[in-house]
Amino acid sequence: MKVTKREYGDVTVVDLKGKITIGRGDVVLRETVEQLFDEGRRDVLLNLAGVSYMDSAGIGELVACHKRAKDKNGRLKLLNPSGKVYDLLQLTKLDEVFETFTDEKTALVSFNN
Amino acid sequence: MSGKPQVQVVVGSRVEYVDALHAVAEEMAKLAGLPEDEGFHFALAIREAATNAVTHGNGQDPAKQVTLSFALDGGALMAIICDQGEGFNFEGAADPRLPENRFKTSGRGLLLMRSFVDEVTYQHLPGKGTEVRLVKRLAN
Repeated sequence: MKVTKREYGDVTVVDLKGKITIGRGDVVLRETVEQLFDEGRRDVLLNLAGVSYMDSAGIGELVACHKRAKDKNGRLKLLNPSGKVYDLLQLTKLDEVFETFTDEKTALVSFNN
Repeated sequence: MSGKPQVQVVVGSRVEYVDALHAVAEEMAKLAGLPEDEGFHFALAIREAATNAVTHGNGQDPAKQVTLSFALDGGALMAIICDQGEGFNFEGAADPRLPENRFKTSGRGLLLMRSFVDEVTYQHLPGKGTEVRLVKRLAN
């Protein structure tokens, strides 16, 4: 999985491309988010537009990132999950856990609240 | 379903091999003529069963094997995943959709399997391992 990071004020947008699955994508996601919080970043927007799918390990890592953010008094939100990824979030009821956006500007503004 | 395995893949218990088993499942879905979305779901269900076998069943012991077999007959595509572990408790798995379980970082594999194929059955064979069968019925 490829990762690109962009900063907008206090918010880091993480563009993910590939699949979040056991052994590779989940590890990359964990290390990326851990590094951001270690660097003192607190607000993270994960852009899932380029994520083709996740497996249960990838879904679990998303939840772990959410918990990590809470532990660090940060916030982690989702942007543009593809149809397959969003279906998985709905199936697992995690659409009720994650704040999810389809528009980046709206997502960025939401961190000001 | 009585068909003998028509495709069989055997791998050591390494997480890296789950992708390979997933790829074979995708090809079997195409051979069975499943529509794209159903094929995606079928292969993801197999991936979850394979991950369980590698990690929970065999504890990622590379000396222990995971065997994935497919049988395709007129009415269904069946996959059988066997490990060589001590077994794990399917019945005891908590529903990850319940509010009290939503923040758990594991325990969603069985939900995905049950959601994406028509039948999931399993049996532990003492001294041999666990066998999980997933059946996807094919449209006429």
